[in-house]
Amino acid sequence: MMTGEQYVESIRSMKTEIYMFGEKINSAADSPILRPSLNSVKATYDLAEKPEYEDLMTVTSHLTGKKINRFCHIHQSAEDLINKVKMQRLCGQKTAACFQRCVGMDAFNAIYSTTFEVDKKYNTPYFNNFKEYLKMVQEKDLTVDGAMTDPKGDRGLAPSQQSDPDLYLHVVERRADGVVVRGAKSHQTGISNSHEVIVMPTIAMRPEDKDYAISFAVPVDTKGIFMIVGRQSCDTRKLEGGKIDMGNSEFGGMEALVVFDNVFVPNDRIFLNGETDFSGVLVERFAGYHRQSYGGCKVGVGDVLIGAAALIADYNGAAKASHVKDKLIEMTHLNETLYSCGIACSAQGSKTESGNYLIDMLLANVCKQNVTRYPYEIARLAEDIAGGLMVTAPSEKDLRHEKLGPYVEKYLKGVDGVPTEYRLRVLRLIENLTLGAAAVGYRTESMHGAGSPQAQRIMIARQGNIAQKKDLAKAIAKIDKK
Amino acid sequence: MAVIAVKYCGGCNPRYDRVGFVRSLQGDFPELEVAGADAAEPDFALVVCGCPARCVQHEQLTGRQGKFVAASPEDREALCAALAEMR
Repeated sequence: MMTGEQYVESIRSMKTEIYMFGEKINSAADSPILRPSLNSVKATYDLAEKPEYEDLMTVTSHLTGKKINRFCHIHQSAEDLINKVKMQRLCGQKTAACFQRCVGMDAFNAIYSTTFEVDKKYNTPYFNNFKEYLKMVQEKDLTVDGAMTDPKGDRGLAPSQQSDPDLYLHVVERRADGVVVRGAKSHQTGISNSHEVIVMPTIAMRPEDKDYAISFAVPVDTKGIFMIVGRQSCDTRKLEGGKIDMGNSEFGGMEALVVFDNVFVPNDRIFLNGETDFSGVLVERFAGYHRQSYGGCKVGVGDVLIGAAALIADYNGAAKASHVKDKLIEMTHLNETLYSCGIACSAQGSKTESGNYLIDMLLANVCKQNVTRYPYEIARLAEDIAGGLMVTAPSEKDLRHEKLGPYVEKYLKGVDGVPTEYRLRVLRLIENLTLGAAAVGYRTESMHGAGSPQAQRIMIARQGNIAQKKDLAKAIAKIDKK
Repeated sequence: MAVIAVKYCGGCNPRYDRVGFVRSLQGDFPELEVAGADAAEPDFALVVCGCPARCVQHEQLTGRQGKFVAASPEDREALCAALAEMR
C-alpha cells in the first residue's frame, strides 16, 4: 500500500490536464486551491498506516489474499458493508470534508456484480477484464474517480435523441483493438486527485442508445481527457495566505467537468459495450452503494459540526442554556439517524451471483433520502447556536493588524480563559461547513450526490411493496383478499 | 521482557483515546514491550475497543498468559490487575 506522501508524489508525477479560472494547473499537489482536496484523499492513505485505524481502513483482498486499502475492496459480507460505512464515518471525522475516494469504491462493487451477469447472458469478457483491472488497482493502491453523471442536455430526451449527441458520453468509433469515446462527465468528485477514471452510463437505456451503454477505465492523464474545476463558495480564501478564514485550512473537496475528447479505450479496459439491458442494473447498483456511503461520510462531517457547535456554545458562555443543550441533542439525533440508515442497509445486505455483497436497496434509498434533508437542519441548528458573528466577523488580517487587532481581540472575546482567536477559528469552521467551501460537500452534495431526492423516491416507490402492505391491512380489517 | 500484542478496533467513533490508554500502560508496566497484533506468540494479548459495541474480530489473537478486551477507561483497573499477575 502507498503511504500518504507516496500518494502525493504519484499525483504530482501525472500529466493530468487541469484548468481553473482560465489557467492550466500543473498539479493539484501544488495548487493552493486544490491542495486541501488532495489532502483529504491523502488522509485515506495516512489513516490506513495507523494501527488504531487499520481494522477499518484495511482488509484482505479476495482476489489476491494481500492486505489492501478498503477503498479498493469488493465487499464479501454484510460485515464488510458495515465496516465500509464505519470507515467513511471515520474519514469524515478526520477531514470534515468530502474525501472523494468513495465513488470509485462504489463503482468497483457495482461493476463487479453487473459484469458477471452480463457475461453470463452474452458470453462477454467484461468480468475478467474488470477483475484484472481491479487487481492492478489493488496492487498499486490507486485512487479511481467513479464517473457516472452525464451533462444530459434536454432531460426529456433519451441520449440518442439529443440534438448534440455528445451530451451523453458515447462511442464514436469502434476499432479492432478498442473504442473511441466522446462526451463529458459532470460533477466529478476528486478527479484531479485520482490516478484513474472509471466510467459508467448514467441512466437505463434502450436498444437505440447502444453507443451510450459504455463502461470503461483509463488513466486520468490519457490523451483527450481534460478537466475544468468547479468553483466553490469562498474558494479564493485559500489564496489569502492565512489559516483562520478558510475554517478548514487542511482539508477540502473538489469537483470538475471532465471532457473526453475522442479518447481511445483498449478492449481490456472495457466493462460494458452496448448491452443496454444492463445499463439500468449498473446505475441502480452504483446508486445504491453510493447512497449507503452517505450514511457514513456525512455523519462523520456532522460529528465535527456538532462538536464545533458545542464548542462555540462553550466559548460564547451559552452552554448551560437549556435550548442550546436541546439543539445539540437534536443535531445528534438527526446525525445518528443517518448513521442508523447506513448501518441498516449494510446489515441487511445480501450476496449477488458474482459473490460480492449488495446493500438492501430500499434501506439505502431511505438512507439517502434522509441525507437530502438532515444535514440542512443540522447546519441550521449549528448556525443558530453560533450566532450572527459567524458571518460578520472581521478577517484574520484584521485580527493580526497592529492597530486593529487589539480591538478585535477585545470586542470579540467570549468567556474568560478562551482566546478570541479560538472563538473566531470555531466560527469560521462552522461557516466553512454551512455556507463555505465545505458546504458544497455537506449540503448541496447531500442533496444531489448519489442522486437527487426524486431519484430515491422513485426507488422507494418501487421497493415499497405496497401490494403486500394492502394485504396486511386487509387481514387485520378482516377484508376478504379476493 | 514480556510482549503484549495490541489490536485496536477500527476507531469509527471512539468514546476515549485508545492510543493514550495503551501508552499509559507502558508507564505503569515499563517491562512490557508493546507490539502489533501480528506479533508471534505474545505473552499477553490486548484488544482495545473504542466503545461498548466491541465489534472488532479478535479470535485469531491469543496471548500465552492471557487476553483482555478493554472497551472503556474503566477497564484499566482490571487490566492492570491481569498484567500484574503476569509479573
